[in-house]
Amino acid sequence: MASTADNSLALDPALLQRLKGIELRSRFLVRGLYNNRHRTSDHGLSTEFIEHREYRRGDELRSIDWRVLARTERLYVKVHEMESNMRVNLAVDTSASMRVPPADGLPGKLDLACAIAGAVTVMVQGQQDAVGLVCLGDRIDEHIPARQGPQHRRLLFEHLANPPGGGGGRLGDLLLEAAPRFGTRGMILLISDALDPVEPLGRALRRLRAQQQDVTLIQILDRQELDFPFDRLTEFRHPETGARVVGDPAVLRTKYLARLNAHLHEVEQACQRAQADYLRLSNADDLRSLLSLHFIRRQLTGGR
Amino acid sequence: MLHPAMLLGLLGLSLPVIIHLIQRQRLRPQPLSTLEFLDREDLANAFAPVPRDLLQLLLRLLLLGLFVMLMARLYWSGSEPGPRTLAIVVDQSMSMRRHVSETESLFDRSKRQALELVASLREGDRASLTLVGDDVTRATGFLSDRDQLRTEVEACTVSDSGSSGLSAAVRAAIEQVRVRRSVNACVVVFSDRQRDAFAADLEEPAPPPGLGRVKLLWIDAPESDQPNLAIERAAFAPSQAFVGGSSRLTTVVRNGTDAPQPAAIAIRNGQDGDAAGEERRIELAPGETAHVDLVQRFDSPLDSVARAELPDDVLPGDNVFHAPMRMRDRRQVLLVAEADEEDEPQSATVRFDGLDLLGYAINPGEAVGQGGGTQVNSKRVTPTALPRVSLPLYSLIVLYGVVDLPEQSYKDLRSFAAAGGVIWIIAEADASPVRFNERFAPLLNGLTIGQVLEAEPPRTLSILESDLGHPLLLPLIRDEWGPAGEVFLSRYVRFETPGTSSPLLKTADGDVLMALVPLERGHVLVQAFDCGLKSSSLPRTAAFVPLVQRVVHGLTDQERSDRPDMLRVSQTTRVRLPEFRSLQGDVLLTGPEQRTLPMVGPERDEVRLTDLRIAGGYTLTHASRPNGRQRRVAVNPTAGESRLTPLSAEEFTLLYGERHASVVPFDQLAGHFRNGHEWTWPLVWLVLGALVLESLAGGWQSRRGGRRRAGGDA
Repeated sequence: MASTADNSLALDPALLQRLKGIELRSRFLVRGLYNNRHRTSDHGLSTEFIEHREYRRGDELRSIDWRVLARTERLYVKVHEMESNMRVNLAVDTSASMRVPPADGLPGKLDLACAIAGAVTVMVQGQQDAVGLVCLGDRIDEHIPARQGPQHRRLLFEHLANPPGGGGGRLGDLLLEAAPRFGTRGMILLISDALDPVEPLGRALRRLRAQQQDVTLIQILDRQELDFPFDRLTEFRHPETGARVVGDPAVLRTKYLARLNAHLHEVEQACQRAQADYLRLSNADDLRSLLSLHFIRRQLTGGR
Repeated sequence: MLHPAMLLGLLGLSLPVIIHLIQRQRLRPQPLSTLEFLDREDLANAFAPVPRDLLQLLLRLLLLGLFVMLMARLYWSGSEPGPRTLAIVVDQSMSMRRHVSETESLFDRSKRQALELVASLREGDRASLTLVGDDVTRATGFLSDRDQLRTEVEACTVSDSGSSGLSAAVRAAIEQVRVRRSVNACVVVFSDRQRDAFAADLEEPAPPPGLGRVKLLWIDAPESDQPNLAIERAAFAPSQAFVGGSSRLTTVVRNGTDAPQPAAIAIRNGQDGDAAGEERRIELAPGETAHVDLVQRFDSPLDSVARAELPDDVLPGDNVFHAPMRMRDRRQVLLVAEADEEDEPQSATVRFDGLDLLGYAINPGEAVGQGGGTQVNSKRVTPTALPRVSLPLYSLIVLYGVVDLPEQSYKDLRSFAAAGGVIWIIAEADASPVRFNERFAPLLNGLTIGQVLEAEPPRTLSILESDLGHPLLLPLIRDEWGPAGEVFLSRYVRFETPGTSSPLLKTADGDVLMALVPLERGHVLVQAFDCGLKSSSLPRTAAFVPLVQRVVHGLTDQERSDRPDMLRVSQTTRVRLPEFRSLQGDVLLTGPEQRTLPMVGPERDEVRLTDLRIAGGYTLTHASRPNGRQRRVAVNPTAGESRLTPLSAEEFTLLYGERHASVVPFDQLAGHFRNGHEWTWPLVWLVLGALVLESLAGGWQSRRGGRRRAGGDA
């Protein structure tokens, strides 16, 4: 991620090019304010016919099936599916653990998260949907409700250029706290390193699913966290708690990787239990390919 | 091994091991968000059980070990002599003038041996030279150039100083050599080890100097059992004499040997030749000191330096003692008085009887036709002739009853007094006080006179010493020149205001009769009565001539009374030279040593004499007037150098210990040098090699670490 002179997010044109034409659709019914292409739980005026039912007072006259009236002299109305726009909420983890400086010129985790959020914003607004932003540090540092329009996109980009936040360790609780603000039947893209305790995170994901939200967790990790490439005696410090461990990486590495992989597996399991989509990325990965592949896969499988 | 203590540095070998085991000092905090997956029990791994970077550790151990060996200065003893570091100390005190053969003194022999030692130096040797008497007069650093060293040794000369600086110089040379940390370090001292030179050290013995590996070798000097007489001091009494007069030179002669010695003491004068002076023969018992008086007649009008001599013995330096012969100057007095009208102005025939009496009192011998008994020449001139007289020739100008002088003369008189001359103004009763005060105002500094007092009955002198502001005429009221009560004053001028004057003489009523006015470096003496018989009874008393003589000599002799023109070698003194005060430039000191000395002091009329090493008669002349006025200064050897008593073996051991200090004959000196060779250069190359290897190993390990990380990334 890079910021422009006007302190706004600048996105990789190649990434946007790769995402162009990919439609971001919810796997579940949505509920939006405006008509759009997304299926909703309501009945409306789309071309998709659902059923006939008896006329009730208040039904629109134009929905009466006149052919059925002519044959049976009974009033029946045609029920069609409703299609509306989708509210996508981007929940970005801005805790201190996301701000650890990367090694070897790779992008940082938060930079990568903001780049993904920005790209998704472009995608969502390109398909006339609303997009909002929640920054989660050690509290809800920012909440921008989902809206449409270029001005709203500029506002989001400004916040993504310098996302507020710090501290950390309460991602699950913060998600639970922010859940009422997301409403129901929308899409939530949670971008985080998800290194917090799994149980609160899983509970929060399930709560969001209970709100009929289509949740996707994009877990971003640093290459050093995944590979643990240290070879000399090193003093490790936790960016959020300040805890310190001095040790020989050669001795620590095996156990570390085992525990990390176990944690990642638990996170994936929690996502499955909460019917949340899950994508793991490293800052050494090719974001253009992996992100576009992920959304294409969702498009082809109908989100399932 | 030069410094076994340096082996303690091997303890430092543990440092790299500890560093490689701990490596904590190189830890940089590494932020890690996944810290909770690290096992906190692994903190113990800060101390790695196996040292890391083993190759680098071994090379560092090797480097440190080699460095410790280098610092410890490893050496080996071979059959060939190794490079030597020598400090050569040569004693130049007067006792080194002692004859050790018919043609050679001890100093000459020491110098010859020092030259042989310098000639024996080889490539790689280095040596320093210290020449010391009462203090160090020549000190070179360590030199490797034999020619330069030879030049330095050849320039060494013996002096007449003592050897009080020898002990400190030897200790300094030991320290100088010791800090060089050389394998073959040696201090070679050429001295006769006079006990007096170490008296302070023996009185309060200090611990022997830490010689370390330094050898202290004193070249053996043969003891003397030959006769040795010494002149300890000599002085003229009186210290000044008139030309043609005589003075007694008292010489203190001491027999410093254990046998009776005959002595022939003679007095010689550098200007009059050896024929001048008297000779006296005496027999001195062992250890006896005799005071011998020799009378010298002073025929030359110039100051000179005489010397009392003994015949040459084993130590000739103390057989001569120089004493300044100071001549008393004849006083030149100028009498200014009015002449008789019928006489020629220049003839100045005496008109007043008071003036006749004063002229008589100034030089009674001349007045009665018996020559210059009081060594005072007087000349009379009239006031009109005064401008044509050269005033600096005179030490005293008497203005007798004159008031009106040519205008230029008042300025000349003031300059004369300001330059140190004395003016004696005798006021006559018929002089106008107003005119007197007006004309002599530049000379009197506020002193004024009033009307004449005709005293009836005549006044007597005050005998209260507290009334007097200057002691010049104290003998008069103390009756030393006859009864002061016989002096009566019947007519005198009263002083109105004293100005800056000091009363010299008063009446019993408190009237000032004579007052002294200081005027820069000179004085103006004002007398309120004339010398006529009508004014006072003073000319008729026995006190008149002494009073006039007191004024003539008492006020004009002050600068010559305390001339410090005799000193010992190595002493420092200041010599006042008022005769050079008005001259610009330096003063030349000629004699056994030549110097150019700047004028110093608040009035720039002094020279500072210091660091004179050779005894003898010296002459001070001004550089701008080499043939002008001269001052003689006598410089004599340091006292105490005549006792030829060397240190005993016990005392030598007490001072320098017995481990590395010894007295050796010169021909055995070569056998006392060590034959050590240092491993310095091989060790230096090994250290450098180990350093390069360690650097290469460090670089290699860094690259290997980088590749390992890169592999991990892949």
